[in-house]
Amino acid sequence: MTDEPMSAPAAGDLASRGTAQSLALGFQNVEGACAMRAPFRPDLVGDPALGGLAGGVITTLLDQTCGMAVSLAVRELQGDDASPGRFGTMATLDFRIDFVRAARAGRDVIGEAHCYRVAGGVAFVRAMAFEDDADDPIAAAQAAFMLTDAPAGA
Amino acid sequence: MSVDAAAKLAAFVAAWPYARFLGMEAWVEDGVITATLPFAAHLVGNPLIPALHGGVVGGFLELAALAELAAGAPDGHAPRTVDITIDYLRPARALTTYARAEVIKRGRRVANLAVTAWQTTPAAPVATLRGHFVLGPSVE
Repeated sequence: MTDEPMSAPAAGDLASRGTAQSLALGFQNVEGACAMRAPFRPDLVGDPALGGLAGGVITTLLDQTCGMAVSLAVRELQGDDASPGRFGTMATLDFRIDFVRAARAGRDVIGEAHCYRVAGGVAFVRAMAFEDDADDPIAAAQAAFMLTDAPAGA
Repeated sequence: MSVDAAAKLAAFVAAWPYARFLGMEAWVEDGVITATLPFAAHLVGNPLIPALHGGVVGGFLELAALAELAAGAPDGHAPRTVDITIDYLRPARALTTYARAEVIKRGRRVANLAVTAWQTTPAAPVATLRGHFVLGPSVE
């Protein structure tokens, strides 16, 4: 796993989003999946007795990563018709997250999302959060996004 | 709601760094806890509307549920989130957001809570949360 420099449209998209910027969310290259990293910061800790990133930070990381996975899936559907820098607009309908365990103290968290279906103007996504081992998850999420400028046929 | 509960609520909000990062506040009035999230630029998800980030709304709703439980928790006990489901009903715009949590069921180990968030009026909620939380001894 290596950190990957982000493409210009992706960087522009991310930089324009206040929360992603204030959490310093960065891209992470995980083979075959859309992934982002939330760097550890003491001001983003949840329960101070545990010392790991707060649940809300994990929720934000996974929501952002899911949105990115949806954007990429929509771009693939659009194929050659996709205009450069176009990532699609969407609204989160619902977001379920299971907190399997607390994030470990002082550790970055990686979010990995997979948009497994786009149908009827709705994108369905699954996501996981972990420190460095996908088989040792912190949280698992399932979400549905409404595509507010759905491409024809989606 | 006792003075003790108000003190526990204040202690919870002060102790969690992420609650301070968001700028969350909470108070007790007539025994009901209301959590507030004043608008701030670092909470924006979509700058075009502009709307609060979905994760921020979810994180705020989760904190409102945790604060409700923390206010009524025995000494030395801390609430922990098991699972939450957030329904996004309207864009949360560049305004103060309010949230109130309701304990649907408080079992011996697990509590089920529902939280509603609104901006202009409680009749037009921007998001709701359902979730399970455990109340156990704090980890030292």
